[in-house]
Amino acid sequence: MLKTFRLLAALLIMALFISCGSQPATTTPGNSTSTKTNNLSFTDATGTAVRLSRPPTRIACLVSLCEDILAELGLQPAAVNDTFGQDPHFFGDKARGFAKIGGSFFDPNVEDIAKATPDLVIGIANADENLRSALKPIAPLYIMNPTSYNDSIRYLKDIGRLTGRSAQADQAAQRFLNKLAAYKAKSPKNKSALLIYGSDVNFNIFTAGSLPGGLLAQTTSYPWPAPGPGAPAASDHEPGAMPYSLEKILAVNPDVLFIASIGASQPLSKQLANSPVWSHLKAVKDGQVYEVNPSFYIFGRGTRSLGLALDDAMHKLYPDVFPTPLT
Amino acid sequence: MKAPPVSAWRGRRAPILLLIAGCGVLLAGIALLSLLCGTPQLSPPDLWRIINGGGSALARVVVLQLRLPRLALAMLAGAMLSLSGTMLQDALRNALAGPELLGVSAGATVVVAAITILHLAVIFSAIPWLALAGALTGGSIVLLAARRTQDAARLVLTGAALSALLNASVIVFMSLGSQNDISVLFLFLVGSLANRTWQHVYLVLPWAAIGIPLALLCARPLNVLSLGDDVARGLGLPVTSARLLILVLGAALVAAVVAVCGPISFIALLAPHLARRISKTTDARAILPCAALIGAILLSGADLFARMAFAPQELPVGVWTTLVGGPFLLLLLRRRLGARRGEP
Amino acid sequence: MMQRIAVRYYRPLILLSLLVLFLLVVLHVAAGSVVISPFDVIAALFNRPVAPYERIIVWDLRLPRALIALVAGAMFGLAGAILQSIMRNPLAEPEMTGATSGAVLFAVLWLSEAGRQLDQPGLLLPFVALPGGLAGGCLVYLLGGAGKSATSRLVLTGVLISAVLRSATSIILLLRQEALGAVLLWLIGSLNGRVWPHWDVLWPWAIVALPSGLACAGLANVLQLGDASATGLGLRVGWTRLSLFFIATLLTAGAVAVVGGITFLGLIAPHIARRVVGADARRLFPFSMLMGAGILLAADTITQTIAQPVTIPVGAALVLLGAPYFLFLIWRRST
Repeated sequence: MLKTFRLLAALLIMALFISCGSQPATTTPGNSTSTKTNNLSFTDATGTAVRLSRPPTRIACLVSLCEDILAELGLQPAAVNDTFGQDPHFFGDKARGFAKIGGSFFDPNVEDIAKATPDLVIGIANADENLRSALKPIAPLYIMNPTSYNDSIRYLKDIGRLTGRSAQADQAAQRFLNKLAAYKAKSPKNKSALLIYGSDVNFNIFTAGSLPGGLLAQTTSYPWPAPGPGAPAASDHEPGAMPYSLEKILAVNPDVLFIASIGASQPLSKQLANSPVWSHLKAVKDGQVYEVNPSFYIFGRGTRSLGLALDDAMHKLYPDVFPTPLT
Repeated sequence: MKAPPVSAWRGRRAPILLLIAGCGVLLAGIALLSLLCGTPQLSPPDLWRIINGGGSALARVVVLQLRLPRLALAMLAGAMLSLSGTMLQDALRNALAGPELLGVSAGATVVVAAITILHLAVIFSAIPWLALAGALTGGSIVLLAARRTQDAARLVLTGAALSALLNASVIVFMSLGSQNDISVLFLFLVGSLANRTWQHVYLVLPWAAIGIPLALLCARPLNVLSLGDDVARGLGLPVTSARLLILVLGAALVAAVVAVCGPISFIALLAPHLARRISKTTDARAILPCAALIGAILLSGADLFARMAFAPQELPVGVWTTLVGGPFLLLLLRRRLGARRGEP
Repeated sequence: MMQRIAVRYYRPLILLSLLVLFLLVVLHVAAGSVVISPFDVIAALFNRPVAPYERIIVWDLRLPRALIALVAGAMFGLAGAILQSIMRNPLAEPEMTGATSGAVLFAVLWLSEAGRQLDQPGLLLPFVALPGGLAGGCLVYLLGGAGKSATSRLVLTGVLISAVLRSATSIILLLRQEALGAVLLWLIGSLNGRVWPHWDVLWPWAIVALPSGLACAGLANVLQLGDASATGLGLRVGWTRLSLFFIATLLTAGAVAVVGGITFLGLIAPHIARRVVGADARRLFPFSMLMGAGILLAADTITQTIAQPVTIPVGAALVLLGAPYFLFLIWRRST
């Protein structure tokens, strides 16, 4: 018994030594060394301040927003964890060759990230903050939390600054803002819209306080106010999205309904037309129900995705005013 | 477990009937409020007009296609859940037994999780039916596994383990999903009555029409079972088969509810305890109808609150039943905390 | 038959188990989506030159993860063995007694109150989890019936209370805007992203709790004789049971604070251990510890290698393994 005890103690002590011995062996790349010539520091959405020692060239993306930003800057990600980049508007077939980060959305495989030897890892709030400790020896982590398109622009410019591509960033931002201003100016704003995600029974709407909702609110009537400060955030991750009263939707009766869905065996417009309640909506009666690409509207979150979403939405809302996308 | 209930019943018939009448009145009040409150806010004359075929088109749709089926579903579901809970608690002689042990909730949840996270191409109206199939499968697995079990406790443990297994599969699905999928799935997972229409009520109705009367008929066997297995056998009741049949009925009552609303917690646990506490008897002939009514009241009241508390934002009713029901149950059971000590 | 052999050759058995554990650690460090040969693992451990990212993976990711799996598994295994002996119920384990869910509830509430991330547990977390585990255990004990007739009623109540606590935890968190997915993965138990800071929280706790648990083996043996005999032998039964429960909860809270609410490990490990070395606590406890460590390591290795590129949290894998075993136990057990 005593011998067992000793053996176990030895094992624990050995483990202790290994753990103590590990500390000097790990270096933390990306933390400040003596160079202070470049102002390569940032503060991310969690308030963590990080200083880089040199401009990042290999960036690992844990969220589609990162891929959007890199595409706008003319860079390519070192590793990605989804297939967002394969869309022809972004990297197309080239994206098939990107290194893949496995695991799940909430548990990205840190080893795959390590294998890609990145200089910077970009993730999103409410999912990836828990990886900061694990990523410390690999690369610094930049957590983003865009709640409006202005945040998206801010992150774009920040990454542009860090990678030394501020010119491209400003160009892309200006392109987007010009597009937005052009749509805003020409839009008759006489139609109301609603963007929802889910099924006919369990769905969340995107209010004007959400990223896509806020964008739509700029160029058309979007009568879905953001939840007040005291309201519980029943939709945890997506700021401004929440389950909503169908009665209120019926009362407001939007002209156009955008449903972000992924794969349905029957067109959603037809399924909703068969529902005894949804069929009373003006949008359903007039056939103004559109399935939209969630990659651009919801998951992209970057200036290029939002620009594409805007093109798509405005064309569907006002086809005679915007038969083709504005530049 | 307690003194023979028969004599107590005779003497308490009038108060029980009074209690049932009181519950009925309360239920009618909640029903009225549910039909009136919301967007648009109606007054009783408006409601009367709508019932008689008048009123604006919007108000008619809202009341007749949204509020009325939701109310009907809440009452039916509340009654069915609490009947199931009462039967389970009496048949298994455990104060904390509930229908989630039968694997029904877990089965429905696995199906809905698979559909939501894997984006299976299923039309919306088919989803509750698939969930029902899942619920029945889950229930069958548990009941088949337990069919020859003599011991009530072992039966429940079997159900608990199988439910844990199925719930782990749900977690596996969730680890595959993205934030939006999980957010939408959560609305089902926690239990919600939002946006349910008459189609959902029609799915539940046959189960209610057959199950509720059958459950009320089970009162006598339940009373005998509660005396203990040996006494019950002595009185001529085939204990194992009776218990199994009661469990089958309990599962059948809950399957359709879970398929349509998701696993709403605590109604099935709480209503029987409230019924016993208020009516001061444990005779199943009194408890079953009281629990059914109390369950209907609890769920429709909670749903009204879920709908109106942060209007127009809808919080799923399961959030409220958990937040309120949990501490409430602990409060009700606190008297048992002392009493349990000496009991086997 | 096997027991007799195991008892006679107990010391070699322990040595063999330690060797197996060491091999499992090496295997765990070697396996994963980036496969590193065992020789490279040893080389990296001894600071020989290998590819830079392989060093990072070995030193900074897999090694702490393997050590955490080892020690947390040991803690769960020992906690389960202690609980099974004091309740004289082979179905008892930290989850069933409400200790795990109670600890998780308190831990998670404190994390969201203190504004910390799940990823930086901080040294205080096990201290916060401990009263949670004790409260959960008390609740189960008081609601489930006195421990003197250790029927499965207690376990039953534990299962139900645990389910209640879990759903309450996830809902409370949801209302506090925690990311549902991340929390659920933690609630079921996960080793992903566990690195040296997490180890720093675990090992001091383990250094205190594990030897305490092992030292109680003698007392546990006396308790197993039955309350009457134990009292006759001069043991204060109530107090002993309470302190043993305290130590089991100590073990549980420490492990839960780092890896989350893993279930069934405290059930499977003592069971297998009991079948091999018998019921004598002085042999059972250490062996159950080693079994727990080995099972968690093996489960984590498997989830890391199989079903790539998608990984499931190790807690889900343990439930998928443990629930059928639990069923098997229920059926085999004569009431």
